[in-house]
Amino acid sequence: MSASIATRTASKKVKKTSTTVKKIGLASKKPEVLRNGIEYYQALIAFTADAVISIDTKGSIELFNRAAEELFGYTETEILGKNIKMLMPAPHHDKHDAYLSTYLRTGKINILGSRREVEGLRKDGSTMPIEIGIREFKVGGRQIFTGVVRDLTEITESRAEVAEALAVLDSIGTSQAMIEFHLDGNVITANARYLSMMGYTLPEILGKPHSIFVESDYKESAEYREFWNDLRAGVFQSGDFKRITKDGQEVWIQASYNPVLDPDGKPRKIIKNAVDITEKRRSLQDAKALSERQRKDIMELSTPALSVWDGVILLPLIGTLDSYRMQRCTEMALSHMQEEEAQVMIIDITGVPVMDTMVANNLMSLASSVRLMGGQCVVTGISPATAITIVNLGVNLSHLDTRGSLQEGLKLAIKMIEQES
Amino acid sequence: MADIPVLMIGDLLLVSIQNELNDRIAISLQERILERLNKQHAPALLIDISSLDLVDSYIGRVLTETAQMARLMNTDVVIVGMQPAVAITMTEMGLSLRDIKTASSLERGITALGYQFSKNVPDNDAANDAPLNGSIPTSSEPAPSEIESQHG
Repeated sequence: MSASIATRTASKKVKKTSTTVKKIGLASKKPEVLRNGIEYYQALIAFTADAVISIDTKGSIELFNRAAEELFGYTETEILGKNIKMLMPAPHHDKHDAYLSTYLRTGKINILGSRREVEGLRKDGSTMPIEIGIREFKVGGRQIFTGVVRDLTEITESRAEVAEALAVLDSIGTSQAMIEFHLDGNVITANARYLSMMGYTLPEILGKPHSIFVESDYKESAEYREFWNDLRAGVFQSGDFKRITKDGQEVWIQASYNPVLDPDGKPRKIIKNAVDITEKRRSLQDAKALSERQRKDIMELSTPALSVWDGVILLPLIGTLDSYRMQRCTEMALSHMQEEEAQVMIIDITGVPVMDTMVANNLMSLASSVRLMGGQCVVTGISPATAITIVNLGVNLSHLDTRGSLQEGLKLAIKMIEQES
Repeated sequence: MADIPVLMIGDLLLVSIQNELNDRIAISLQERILERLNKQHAPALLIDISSLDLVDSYIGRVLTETAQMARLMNTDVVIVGMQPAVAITMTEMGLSLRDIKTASSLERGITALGYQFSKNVPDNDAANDAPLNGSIPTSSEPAPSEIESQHG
């Protein structure tokens, strides 16, 4: 029995090789193989790990090994003699007869010799991605097509995972600036966003050290050296960093430096992701500055001390009096009193919404300070509600002169002044 | 450094702190004041601190204690010219100088102690008020009070 194997090369030219197998059983010289001959080869095909299927020129299945049974779900008995197109989902299902007859007629084929990825149809109706490799040969004067089938489900899933991962990476790449460095700090590559952020083209920075992006005095610092030593040791670094563009402009970035480890756990390169936060940072600083200015304005607006009479100054307290405000208030009022050489300070609390122990204590401290400077204090603007609160709090203001209204307080102050002279 | 002068004006003891106080000077001053009061009782003590920009807790206490000690010796005390910063510090320290007078100026301080500070001093030496045309006053010149009442 001889079989000549016609093979197709990648360019689809027919090339008959001269490999002939003289007799089945004689391809190997091993005595065991020779002894068992045909059974050996039968077993080989039957139990090999890959699914093997053979068809005749009409497409009817002649051989269906164990692996093929497992892959497609048919038993050999069920499938032998049936057409191969049973194992194909649409569209090939309908077209296979035509493929076969075209080839037989014209010799034109595009499937032989190479491995193809197609879909297989199982007995239960489900499809799966498979790889097939088909060859033809003649045996006993008959033309046979044999295919080896491999289940690609797992590989397809892995490929999908990888594609997903790449898509995610890509999306990160579009929103984040990325750059890769060798362990020595030289640039391997950078993405478009990084380049546009820093104002360089890729050729300008390839192979250059990371230090071109930092300030010159930082470059020489021990801190910078330590940063890179840590990266080389595999320590992940992240934070806000100041960097310098090609034009010498400052940018602030929020970045993470990720040492990529090889399978042994040793760092082999550094991948850095960065987001430009210059604008955000500036806005934040502006906001802080504005807030500070507003606070100062509020302070100034709300703690004026007014000279209302010769020797009498009026301090209207307005709004919530926290310790800080009260302190500022006190300093200003006492300075004013000294400048004006005032003898009486009227503290009006009409505008103080909440009277509590803290406010009362602050008030008494102010009055004490005024007295220490040789002045006198009159507290006015005590509403009935405030009076109730003060008494309920148990705060003792009896040593202070108090009046309900500002008018009354002013009258008293003027009397005090006149008593002096 | 020269000691802070402790002066007697009439029966008023006057202390004017012009320089920066340190702990040593403050304590020394306290001793000198008390010694003075002991040697010769003064009914009134005026401590002028208008030149003192700031005090720390120690000096604040020494000042207060000096005043309180003088009070115990039956001397009326006034502290004059406390600056705002000092007043705030002393208040924060809880030193309120109860029972001890305070005044914003020297003049007010003296008045507070019960002294009269009058700008119109009675003129006993009428001879020096002779008109410029050279008439010489004689012993028959009327008494000063009469002159005053004549001239209204």
